[in-house]
Amino acid sequence: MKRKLFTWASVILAVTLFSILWAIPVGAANPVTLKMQAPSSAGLGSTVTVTTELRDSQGAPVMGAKVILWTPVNFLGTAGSILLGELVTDSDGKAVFSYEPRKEGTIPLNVYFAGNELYDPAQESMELTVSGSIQLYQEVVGVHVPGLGVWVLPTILGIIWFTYFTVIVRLSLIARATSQDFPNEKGLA
Amino acid sequence: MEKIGSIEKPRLNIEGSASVTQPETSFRSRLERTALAPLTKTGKGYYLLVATLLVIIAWGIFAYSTQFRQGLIVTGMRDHIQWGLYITLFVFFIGISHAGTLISAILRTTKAGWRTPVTRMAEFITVVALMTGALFPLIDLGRPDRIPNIFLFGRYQSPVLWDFLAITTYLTGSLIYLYLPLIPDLALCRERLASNVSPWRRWFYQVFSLGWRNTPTQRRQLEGGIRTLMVLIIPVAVSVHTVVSWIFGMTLREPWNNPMFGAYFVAGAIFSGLASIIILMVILRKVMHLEEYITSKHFVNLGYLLGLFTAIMAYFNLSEYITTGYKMAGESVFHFQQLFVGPLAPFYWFYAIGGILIPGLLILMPWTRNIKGIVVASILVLAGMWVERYFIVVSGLRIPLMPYEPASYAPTWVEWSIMAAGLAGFSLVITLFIKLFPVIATWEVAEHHDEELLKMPRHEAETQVEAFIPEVNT
Repeated sequence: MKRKLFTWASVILAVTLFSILWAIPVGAANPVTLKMQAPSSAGLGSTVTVTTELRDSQGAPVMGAKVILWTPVNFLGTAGSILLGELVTDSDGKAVFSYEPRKEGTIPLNVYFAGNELYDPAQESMELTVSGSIQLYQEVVGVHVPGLGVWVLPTILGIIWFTYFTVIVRLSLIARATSQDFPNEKGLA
Repeated sequence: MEKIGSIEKPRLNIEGSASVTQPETSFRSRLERTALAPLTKTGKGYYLLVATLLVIIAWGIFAYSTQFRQGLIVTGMRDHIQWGLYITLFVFFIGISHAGTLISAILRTTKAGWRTPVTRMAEFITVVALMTGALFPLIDLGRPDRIPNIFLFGRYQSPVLWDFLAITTYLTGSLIYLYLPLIPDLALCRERLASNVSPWRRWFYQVFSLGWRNTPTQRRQLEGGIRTLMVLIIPVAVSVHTVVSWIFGMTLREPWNNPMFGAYFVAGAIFSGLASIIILMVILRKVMHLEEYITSKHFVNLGYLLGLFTAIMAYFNLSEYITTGYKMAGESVFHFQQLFVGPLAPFYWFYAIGGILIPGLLILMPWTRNIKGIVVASILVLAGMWVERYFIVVSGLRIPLMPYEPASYAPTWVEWSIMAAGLAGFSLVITLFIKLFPVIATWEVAEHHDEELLKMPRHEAETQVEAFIPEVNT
């Protein structure tokens, strides 16, 4: 009986160990090459195509890997990074981003592969020079009432403040009335 | 002197000049004594109150200095719920600032004579509440050094800029509107208190009474100014709270996406303004012994107005939730869930039951329609309206705009402390005001009293005048 139990326990232990060992990836992750291709300059508001290609150490394309495109930004004294896109590589190991630059100047573009159980992480960077000064946002055209515009706001405010002014003038007339009726009064009157 | 039957009616005497020898009525003498007494006598309780308020304000300044040094991270506000207690208080104070407009301007326009003893308090609440309320958006800024950006980069398309302009305009108008009816009373202080007050106060009364002697020209100018402003200040006040509502209404958030918001906020503002004036009235009536001038009639009349606005608020609520709830479009489901049965339900039901239903019943029932009942209703209304502002602000921001967990918000000690300091500051300015100015417009009360005498049948008028003017014999 004891022997039978020992045999069964040995079998269960062996199966467990085998399962664990089978689950552990064999060997270290492989280095990969991440290439990036994009024009070095573009016009403000134009569409820039950023092509990335991920290959393993043997030069074979890595399919189904997630790559991201990001750029560092500074806004009102706060530094951070903005995610411009996130794609998965195709069977050729390629991912093609479309990016529309929203400000002029030199914009650093970075593509990044975070790595996985098979491959090491990788990153590639380049700079994009953006030029131009066109207005990018488009105002939504609403209902235009002829003759009605922003002038309404200052006009209303002007009427109110002018009325205040007339009341202030009345205050000065109150003070002046005393000086006329009681010329010997001291003070403001 | 005018005649009341065979009795000479005492001429209105606002000169207050020692050189003028018009006979003073007992009513007027008592009125002056009552109104001016707090300006010269100060008890220990007053100093204790001021000291307590100053301590609370000092604690609030310490809390703000913590926020200033460490940033908004010391508050409960985060990226999802970025408006909290401060904006709640901003809306709340701007709301109660409507007290002055309603009580003073509307009742003056409609020639409601009973308004006279309460107008001064109402007008002063307006000015102090506006100044206190306007502070809170500035406190809400993590970077107050960027306040000049409103002027440098303000865009006329933004409700924030409209709000700034509306509040500035309303505050200026309210200050002038407070000052105009004060002039005759400042003249009264100048004449009656010359020997009882410090030199700087003598100077103050001398300068700011503008040499008032109640000459026909002065009278004409004063009445003209008051008439102009009482008409103008009503649309300006309405615009202020409408624009405050637009800050919410023009933001893409489900509960704020409501075209009625302007009217809803204006009604809510008048509602809480009425409640605050009633509470202030009962306190000052007791402390300053104004029972003769602020009678139960004033409370009941204001109670009727409060009752009317209770009904209006109930109607707005019903209309809003029935129309939105019937459609249940988009994020309404989440909003209704959070408001009626979710984490904001205690706030909503307190507002609906405690802030609208019970006050309405207290005013509706004849046996509770008295000073006590109306004051209790007012306290409930004020608390309910504060809670309403809180859940309006928080519920709108709590709804997730993307698939993330709903955010939560709980004010920290810094926010509670600054709120306490704001309320203490509001109370302190009113406390100081009652030591500098008469809290009732003596000349308006006296005029109204005389007008009432004129309207009375002869025998009643004689009885009244005999009672008030023992020195006048028929």
